[in-house]
Amino acid sequence: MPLLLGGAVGVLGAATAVALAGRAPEIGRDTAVGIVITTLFGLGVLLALSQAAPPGLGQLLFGDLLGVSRKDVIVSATLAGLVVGALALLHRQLLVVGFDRSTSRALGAHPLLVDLALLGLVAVTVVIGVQALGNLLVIAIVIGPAAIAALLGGRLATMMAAAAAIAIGCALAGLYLSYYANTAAGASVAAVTVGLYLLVRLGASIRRSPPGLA
Amino acid sequence: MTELIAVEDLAAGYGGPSALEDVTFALRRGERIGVLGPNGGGKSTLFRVLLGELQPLRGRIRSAGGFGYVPQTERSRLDYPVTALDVALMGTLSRVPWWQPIARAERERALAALERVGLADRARKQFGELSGGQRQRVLVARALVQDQPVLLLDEPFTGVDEPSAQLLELLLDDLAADGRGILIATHDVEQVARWDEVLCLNRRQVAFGPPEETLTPAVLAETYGAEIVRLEGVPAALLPPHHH
Ligand SMILES: Nc1ncnc2c1ncn2[C@@H]1O[C@H](COP(=O)(O)OP(=O)(O)OP(=O)(O)O)[C@@H](O)[C@H]1O
Ligand SMILES: [Mg+2]
Repeated sequence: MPLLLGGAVGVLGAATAVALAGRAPEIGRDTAVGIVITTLFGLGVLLALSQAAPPGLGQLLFGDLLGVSRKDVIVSATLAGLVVGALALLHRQLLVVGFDRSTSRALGAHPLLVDLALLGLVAVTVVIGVQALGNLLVIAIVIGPAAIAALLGGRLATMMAAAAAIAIGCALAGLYLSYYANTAAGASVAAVTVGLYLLVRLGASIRRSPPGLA
Repeated sequence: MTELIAVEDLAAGYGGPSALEDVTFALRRGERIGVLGPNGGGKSTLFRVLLGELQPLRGRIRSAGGFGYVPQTERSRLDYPVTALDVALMGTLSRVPWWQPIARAERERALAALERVGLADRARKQFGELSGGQRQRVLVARALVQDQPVLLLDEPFTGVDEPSAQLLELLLDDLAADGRGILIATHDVEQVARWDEVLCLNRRQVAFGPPEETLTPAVLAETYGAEIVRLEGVPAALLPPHHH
C-alpha cells in the first residue's frame, strides 16, 4: 500500500508538471507530456536498478491481475466511484473547455481548473489500473476503450458510458482468454482491447468508404 | 443606469504597438452598435478587452453585467461529440453554477433559442455535421441561452445565407427592443446604417455616433484606408449634400 501511495503522489506530481509545463507557450502540451514522462521513466529505471529498490516494484511495472486482494478491490472501487462522481460534477465545464478552449472563459468556464482536475482524475485512474495491469500495460485499458467508443460516435456522455462498458467487457474477455489459452492475464486483457480497437477501426473504415472502393 | 457599458480612452494591444487606441463610447439599453473596421482594425481586440481576456493598456471600462458572446471564426473542433443542443446548453454555464446538473427548464430554453435562429429541427444533429452558416447560428443560440444584458457578436453574419441573415437581424432587433445592448462587428456598411450607433475602428477610434453622422465618405475613407473605399453600399441619403 505505501508503494501505491508513493505512486499516487508521484503521478499527481507528474500531472501537475505536465499541466504547468504545457502552459508555457513555447512548449506544446504533447511535448510537455513527452518531457515529463521520459524524465520520470528514466528516474524510475534508475531507482528500480538500485540495490535499495523496494520489493514489489516489479509488480508496479507489470501488475498482477490475479493477485489483487479483496482490500485492493474495495480501494479501487471506491476510487473509481470518486472519479465517476467528479466527472459528473465537472461534465459541463469539461464539455465547454474541450469544445473551444479560447472562448471557454467568456462562457464562464475555468480552463486551468479543468486541466488540473482532468489530469488528477487520469492520475487516479492510472493508479487504479496499475495494480492490476502494471505501469506499462495500463495504457491499453485507459486509452483503448475510449478510442473504441470514439470510433462508435455519439454524444460525449454516451461515449464515456460506452467506454466504461467496453473496458469491463474487454477485461472479462481477456481473463477468459488467459484461462483457456494459458497466457498472462494482464497481457491478455491488453491484447483483447487492442484487438477490438483494430476490428472496430476496420469496420468503421469499410462502412465509410463507398462500395467498390472498400 | 441606462448605460450598459461605458468605455473611456481605452487602449489595448498584444505587446507590440497598440492594436487599438482612443476608444470612447457608451452602450445603452436597447441600442445596437455596429462596429466597423478593416481586417486588423481592432474589432475582435475590443471584444477581447471587454470580456476581460485582454488587459487594457490604458483607459477605463465600466459595465453593468455579464456578456453573451458569439466568437468570430468558430475555433471549435468539428469532430467533437456534441449535438447542436449540447452547444446551445453550454450557454448555461454563465448562469447556472457548473456543478449543478442542467434542469429541464434550461433544456427548453436552449430549444427555444435554437428555434429563434431557425434551427429547431437540427437540435439533435451533431454540431460537426451542420453547415458553416448553421454552426454560426448555433453559436448565436448559445449566446441567447447565456441571457446576459449585453451581447457581443463578432461578425455573426459571416457565412450565413440571406434568409437566415434576415432572421438574425430581426432577432437582434427583438433583443434590443427587450432592453438589451448589442455590439455587432461587421463589414456590411449598408447593414450598419440600419442600427443605432456606429463605432469605426482602424487601430484607433475613427468615429462614434449615429449612422447619419458617421457614415460619411471622409470617415469611411479614414476607417478603411483611402485606396479601398467603396461607397456603393451607403444609401445616398447618408452622404452629405456637397458630395453629390
Ligand atoms: N493574439 C494576438 N497576438 C498578437 N497580435 C494580435 C493577436 N490578435 C490580434 N492581433 C493583432 O491586433 C490587430 C487587431 O486585430 P483584431 O483581431 O482585433 O482585428 P479585427 O478588426 O477583428 O479584424 P478582422 O476583420 O480580420 O476580424 C491586428 O493587427 C492583429 O495582427
Ligand atoms: Mg475580428
